[in-house]
Amino acid sequence: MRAAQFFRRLLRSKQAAVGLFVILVILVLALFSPLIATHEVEDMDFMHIFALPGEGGHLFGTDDYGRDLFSRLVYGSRVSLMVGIVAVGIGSLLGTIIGVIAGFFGGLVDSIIMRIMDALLSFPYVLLAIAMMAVLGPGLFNAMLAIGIVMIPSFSRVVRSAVMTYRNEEFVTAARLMGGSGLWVIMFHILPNIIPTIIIYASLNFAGAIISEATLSFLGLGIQPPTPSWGSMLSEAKNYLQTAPNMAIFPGIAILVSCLGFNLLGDGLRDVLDPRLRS
Amino acid sequence: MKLLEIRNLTKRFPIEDSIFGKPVKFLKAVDDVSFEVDKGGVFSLVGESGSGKSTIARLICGAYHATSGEILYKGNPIGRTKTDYRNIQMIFQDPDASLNPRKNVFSIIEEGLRIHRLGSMRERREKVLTILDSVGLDRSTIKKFPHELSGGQKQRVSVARSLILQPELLVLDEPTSALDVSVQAQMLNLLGDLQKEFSLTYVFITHDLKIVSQISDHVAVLYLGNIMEIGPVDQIIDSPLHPYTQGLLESVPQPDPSKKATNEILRGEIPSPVNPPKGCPFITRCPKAFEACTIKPELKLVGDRRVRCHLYDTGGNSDA
Repeated sequence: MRAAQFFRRLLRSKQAAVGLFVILVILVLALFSPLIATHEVEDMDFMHIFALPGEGGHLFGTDDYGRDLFSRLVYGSRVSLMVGIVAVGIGSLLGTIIGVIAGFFGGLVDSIIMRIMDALLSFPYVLLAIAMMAVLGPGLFNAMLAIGIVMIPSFSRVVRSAVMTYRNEEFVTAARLMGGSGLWVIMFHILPNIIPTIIIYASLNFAGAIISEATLSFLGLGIQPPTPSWGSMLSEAKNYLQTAPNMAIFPGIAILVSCLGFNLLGDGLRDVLDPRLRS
Repeated sequence: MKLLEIRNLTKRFPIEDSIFGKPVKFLKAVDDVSFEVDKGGVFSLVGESGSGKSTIARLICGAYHATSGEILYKGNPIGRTKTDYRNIQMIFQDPDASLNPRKNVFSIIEEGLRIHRLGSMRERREKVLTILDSVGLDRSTIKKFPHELSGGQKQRVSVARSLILQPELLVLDEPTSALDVSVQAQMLNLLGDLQKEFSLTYVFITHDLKIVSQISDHVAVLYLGNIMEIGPVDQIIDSPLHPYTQGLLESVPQPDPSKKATNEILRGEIPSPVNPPKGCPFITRCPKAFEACTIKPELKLVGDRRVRCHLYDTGGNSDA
């Protein structure tokens, strides 16, 4: 009942509807990759190296090994989607726990935690991820872990400030004076109030995670060849930008559109979850 | 029987230096306050904002630790135990702030039972429905959210939430001042009925003297954290002794427009409790102040009540 109502409100916003549609398309691509792909991803068609779009039965053309770009793009959606879900999952879960602890307890606990987060924030995003990859070693799982960890400081900061606004609310005092424990207050009163903030921030970070994976793969630290990801495809394309621009254009568009989709959904969610806009 | 005894209760709040966080000054919110509340009685605390009445309420409920002094409940010092939290409940002024906007009426009222792990899910549901009847809300309200209710309904929900734990003492912090005047009377009647029905004891905090005479049997008038006058309500309302109480009573708006308000006494603002005046706290606004008032008066017994004023130095027996 309430879920249906929620979706009806969500779809009333055109932004959110477009965003949701884009994400559903990526989801379908990822789930049914073998059915949608026209070629095997690692099959090399030496008769058609650097094929232009449409040439030799290759919808988006081929790359330097004669591999079908369309099929690689379809399979690449799996990596991008997984990176988005896992990295945002790690970042939002740990970021929320840290943010709630810092915001709720305040004082010295807050100061110590937030100074550590500040220290992490002071590194450039990509540099921190690269440093982490250097320690963990390259690979998809490590890339997701690194991207997730890099998200923690900003996430915990957002959650902390949300917790702090609710910590001093009178309904929290009321619960304490009824004998409610700190854990009770967090679970029953504070979390339900900050969950919209968490969802929105997570949806915005989704796009960031896909770009980060592309960045790490572009630098050769993410997914290892020959498995395709949008980022690694872009990375391979950089040497042939002048001769075969289609190698870069299609994964570029895929990253752009998916990020747009997540950002639009995030904006839409913010509108729907704002109680002031409810009827 | 005395349900609640407050002895020499003092609460100071540190005012911290903005850079180093060291307390540089103290705000004395409650200054050596003593009073007793009989079981089944209604004790009112009146005063302007900043008089310390809400601080006393929160001290009784355990939200703050007292700086010094004692709060005895049934003869024992009050502790932060589960039973004390059950037996003493508080009702807040603004139901918009004290009800979680994301919880429906059922979960709001049920909360206390869940905190104290009382009853099965079915028993809790039964209890919530019964209590809704007691506070005069329709049973269909349980599915609604606070923003779908009127101010009076919201305050009824918060009363229901407090009553579900079957408390003995209810501390009401201006429970009617956020409501429309028409709803205030209903709310007061409800509170009066509930008091009889559940044999409750009330500590009633208000700035409205009309309400005091209507609901309570004893009253303490607070000014800058000090009790200025304390005693049976009919005596204090009918013939106030302290110039401050007189001023408060004068400032009650008269429903009859032909009677002109003679608000001559209460001019100006209550001084900052950070820098209270030396001597009598009321000296800065008192129309009857004289030389003796530069020394802080003690609470002195005058008849059945006690008054903190040098005007009654002779005649009354000194209680100090």
